[in-house]
Amino acid sequence: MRRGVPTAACALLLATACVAGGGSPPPITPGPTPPDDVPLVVVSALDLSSPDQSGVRQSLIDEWNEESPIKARLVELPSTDGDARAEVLAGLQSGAAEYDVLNLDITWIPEFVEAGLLRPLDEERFGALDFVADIEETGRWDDELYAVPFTTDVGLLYYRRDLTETVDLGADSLPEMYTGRPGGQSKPTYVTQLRPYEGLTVNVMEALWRAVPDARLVDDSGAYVGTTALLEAGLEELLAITDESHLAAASYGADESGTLEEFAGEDRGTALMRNWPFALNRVADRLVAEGVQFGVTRLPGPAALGGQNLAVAADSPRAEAAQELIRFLAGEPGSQERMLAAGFAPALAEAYQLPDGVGEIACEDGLRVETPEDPDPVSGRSEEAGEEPLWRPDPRAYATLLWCAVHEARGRPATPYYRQFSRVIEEEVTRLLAGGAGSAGGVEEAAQRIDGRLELALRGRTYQPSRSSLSPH
Amino acid sequence: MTELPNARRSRVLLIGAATYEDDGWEDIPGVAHNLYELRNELLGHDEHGRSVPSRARLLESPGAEEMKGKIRSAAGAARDLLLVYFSGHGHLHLDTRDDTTELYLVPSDCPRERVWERAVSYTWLRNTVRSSRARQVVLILDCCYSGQAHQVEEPSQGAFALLTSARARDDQDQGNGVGPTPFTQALLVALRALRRDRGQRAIVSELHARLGELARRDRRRAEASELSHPNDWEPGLTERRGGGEIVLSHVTAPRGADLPDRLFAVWLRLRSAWWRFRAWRWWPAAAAGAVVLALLAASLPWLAWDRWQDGRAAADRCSVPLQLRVLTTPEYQRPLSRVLAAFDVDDLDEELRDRARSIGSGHEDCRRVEVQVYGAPGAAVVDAFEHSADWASPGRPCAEEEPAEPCRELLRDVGPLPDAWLPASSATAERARSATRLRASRVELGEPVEIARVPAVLAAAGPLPDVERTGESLVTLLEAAGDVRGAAPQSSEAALAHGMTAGPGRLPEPEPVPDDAALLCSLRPGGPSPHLLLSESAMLPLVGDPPAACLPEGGWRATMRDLYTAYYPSDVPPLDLSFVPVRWRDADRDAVERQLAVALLGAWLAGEAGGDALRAEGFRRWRDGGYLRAPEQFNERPFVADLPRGEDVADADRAAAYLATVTDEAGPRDVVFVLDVSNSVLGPDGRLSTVRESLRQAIGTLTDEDRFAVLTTPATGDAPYGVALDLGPPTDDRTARALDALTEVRGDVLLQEPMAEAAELLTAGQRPDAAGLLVVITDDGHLTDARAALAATREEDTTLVVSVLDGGCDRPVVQALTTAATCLDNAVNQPVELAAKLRVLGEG
Repeated sequence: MRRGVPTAACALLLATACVAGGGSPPPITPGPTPPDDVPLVVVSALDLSSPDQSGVRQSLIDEWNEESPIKARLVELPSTDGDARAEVLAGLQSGAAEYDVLNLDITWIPEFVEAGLLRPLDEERFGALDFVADIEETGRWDDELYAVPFTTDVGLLYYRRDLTETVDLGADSLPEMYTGRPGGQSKPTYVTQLRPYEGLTVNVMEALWRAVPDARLVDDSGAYVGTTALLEAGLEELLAITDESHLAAASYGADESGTLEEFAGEDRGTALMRNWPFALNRVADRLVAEGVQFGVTRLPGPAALGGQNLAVAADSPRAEAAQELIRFLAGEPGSQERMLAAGFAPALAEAYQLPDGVGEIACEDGLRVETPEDPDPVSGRSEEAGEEPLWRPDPRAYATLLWCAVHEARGRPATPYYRQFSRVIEEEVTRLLAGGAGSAGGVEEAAQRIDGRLELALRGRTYQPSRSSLSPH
Repeated sequence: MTELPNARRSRVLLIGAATYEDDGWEDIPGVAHNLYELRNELLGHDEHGRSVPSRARLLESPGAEEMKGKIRSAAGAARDLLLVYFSGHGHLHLDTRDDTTELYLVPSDCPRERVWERAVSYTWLRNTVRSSRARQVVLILDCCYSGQAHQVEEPSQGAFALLTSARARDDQDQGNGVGPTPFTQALLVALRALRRDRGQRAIVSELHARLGELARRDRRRAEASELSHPNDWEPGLTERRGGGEIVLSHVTAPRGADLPDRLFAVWLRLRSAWWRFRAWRWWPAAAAGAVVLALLAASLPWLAWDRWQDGRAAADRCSVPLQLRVLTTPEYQRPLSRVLAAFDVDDLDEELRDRARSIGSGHEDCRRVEVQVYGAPGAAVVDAFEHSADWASPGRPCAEEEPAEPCRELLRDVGPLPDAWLPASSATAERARSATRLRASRVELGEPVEIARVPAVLAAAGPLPDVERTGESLVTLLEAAGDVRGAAPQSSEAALAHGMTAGPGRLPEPEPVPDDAALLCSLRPGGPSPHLLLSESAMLPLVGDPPAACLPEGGWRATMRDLYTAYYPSDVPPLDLSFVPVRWRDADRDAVERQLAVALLGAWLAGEAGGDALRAEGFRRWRDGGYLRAPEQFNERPFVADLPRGEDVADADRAAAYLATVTDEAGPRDVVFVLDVSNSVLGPDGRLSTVRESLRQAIGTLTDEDRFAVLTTPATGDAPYGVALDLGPPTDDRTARALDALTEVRGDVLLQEPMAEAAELLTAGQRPDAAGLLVVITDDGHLTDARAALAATREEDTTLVVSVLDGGCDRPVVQALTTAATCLDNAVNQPVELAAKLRVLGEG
């Protein structure tokens, strides 16, 4: 009788099973567990907080190693953003890399998740952590937690007080600030990052947000929602910022470190600089020694939110230990306070040590941190052997500035194709800037090209420029 | 769901040569274990996971004719899957007629001499299985040098996969004979693990990935136990047309009937069930159940539609592109980034476009590959390849015996591990190649393919008197120019080309800049405008667009643009911008796709579209009539549009020899010469004059800081070798005595004995900063126990084998000894080549 079970019913169930079943790419499985004396490998981009690479990240790793039976080793990646991303991504895709903890730029998270390279984190272990603003969302994708904020970052405006006496630092835009200073001077007004890399994309997005405060190019699903009109507005603002009578030409070849050299280097100097919080201590060490006073404030208009998140590699055979290490690096107030002291913006709200909580912080206009007239050496603190820094900002004032800047910042698009998105911006804007500013035809044409290419790039499609656009620009 | 092979329509042939008739071949007892264990695992289970009787045919220690006959038979009969597995000795043969290297599978009756006349070539095997009507073909080779098979690039008709056990130029460990050989043992482990893990069917690509993990595990264990010769096995995979998806663990069990019979059997059962149902007294309840089932069935189309929609959405969604890392020089980084931004698989031919779609998943328009271009100076890159283990494993602790030396942070300081390398000259690639062949290397470099040429020029700040812009020698141009400036030849291929041509000491001291890009950036207003020796491409940012960002803006830059003009020395070899595929040993997870992506990139660069993109950035490509032409967009005033063909590119050994003289990189060396003075080398039919000249020139490369010793084999009496000279300086007297040692002695040559003595000499006379070099000059050393000879050498020494025979590097013992060495034979100008090699080997 058992053999008489209707074959049709079996067929139906089988069909249902086939219909109900699903397929997904096979997950990456961890390799064999190494012996305990093999350290956890933490991979991270170069720590710019210290020019001799003895930065705060290494000191945190050293602190972990003093206490933990499983040691950790910091592996530094190439210094440029694009190279670092390429190495981590390709290394994990190919299986050649043996990393446990990854310190990733926040814009990389969706891509790495979609590629199956990150392991979901234990929500219970990290859920109680209170991060500043909404930055913990940068570690989520598809409603799952994959990474925890380690540092956050926000664009700031640095200024030299000797060169900005006539500049209205409270103006609503950079071009308005320019009006306070004649153009064509030997020491230009403004320097920023316009080399074709992620720094350029950040500048373009900030220009777009200044021109159209609620502008969006990508919606929550990752689809392109921009328009040529929107792009034109942003590009016009960018061209106004890059007015050749005010912009330092070095900007076209500069990254963050190069910009800092232009602003504070010997025999150089610009009135204003856009850079990240890491630059504060390095600028201070240069300018204060020369008796030059400077300050830092928020950028006019929304600044780009940056930062780095800590994640566990999908093939790490010691996921538990890796998460413990992440908890130490990102979740301990002591660790985070050291980030603040090194100039980084901490991710943990508690590390700001601000009284009264989020709702009570007064983010006033004109919020600035400046060197005093006669800076005294900071006692009891030394950055390098035998040397004390000449000046460091008041912790509370600086923390307040960062807090406010982070809360007002805007995130870049969250999409697994962020690299492709940024590449389109870099290529087209570099072409526009090289072709001569101020041409309406140039802006309109660039906006149309960007519009067409972004629509393809954000769907993961090929988006090469046409052959006719290949030129030695 | 991956399709299972049909048992009746498939053929599995397992060939194992465990024993050999000729004593020259060592027996491999592990091979017997291979056959019997694989028989139960390959296609050994049905779709329900139940074991099925093996249909594999075993061929134990067959002769050549039997082996070929059975392969032909299996290929002729197979219609679904054809699987041929071979385990035994492998052999490489260099055919000097066309300079090709062929892999041979050695059957049991093959003599040790003239192996290629009896053994089964991989080409024959490949052609035979290609003629089969099987829908899918898998070849598995567990033998030495099996990786050479991957060099055979042929389109296949159906799905094809080739799985190998060793690198192309390496032999491999046979194991201890108790149990299968290491590769096959790992294959068995992987098959079983995949099968037991949720009943997963073992497909070729998954097996390959697992094999990679196991190979790494074995390597770590060998290093930990300090085995003296753990010549590790390494899996390799080539697949075509979905060969990676072929199932090797499960099979559809053979049924007795064909499809129509089976359908009829189902109909009979349904009819029988219906009549029994009608006779059942509970049929109303059953009818109600049937109604429920019918409702379910009605909902099926909707479920299927919804699922199909999801499937379409998933198919439409693009996977994250495969990331490639492309390394070049600092001065080429920006232009090549622009070139590769135009990389598009649609520019390739149809077959390559089809293959490109196997990378990643999603819609056919999905972007499959993302390329990141970065630059590093040539010297740093060569050094990084020489320390590839540090580069690939940056988490490794530093060597404790070198506490004073900081840990190399190559990933941070040089850049990512490249998937492709575009050096400005193929000579740079050759500098790195010998180090990548050493045992400890984690990287393999493919053969360079030229994609563009760039002349090395003299960029003159103003017109030079009484000389033409082309057709003049470098010396003439230098005399006209007076003072010139150039970058360091270690990192500037143009400086190297100029220096080689002018000769040592003829050029001024290089500027303290690492490369041509930095040379350009050292120019400043207010100072003199010097004449520069650099490449034409590096000169572009000085006189064209886009300008070098490092040069100060303003009138000065415009002045420079109008001032400089290129002069083209007729005797300086042009630089051949080359494409070099790079493969990292542990990059197994996506090895198939990654290597395919690299191949596609190389094909694009070498093709028309890549050529156009390169020319648009100022690189030169061959055009009609063989003239080099500059792209029309560029301002031709500083440059010459058409150039005659002129010199060929720089010879790699010449370049290395020049570099050694100017960089003073070679530290002190201790060199032991082991000279075969037997009748076959020095007798009437031998090569006495060649050996004398080779030895004389080789000693001539040694400096006052070096020492050398000479051992001869055989020796008079019954001694296997004699010590003609102990370690000492290269004086004239000692050189003469070394040459006098070249006296013919009759007897057998057993190289393992003097090589062991050489190792002892180097150990006893060890100097802390001296590198050890062993130079063996012989014909083919066919009586030598190669394994014993290798075991006797020290890991830290470099061994160079020089064969006096044409094609001598192809002889078995010589091949075995060159596992960790370079080899020279008489196919080239041996004394000069040996001298050039010695100048660069054993750098301290």
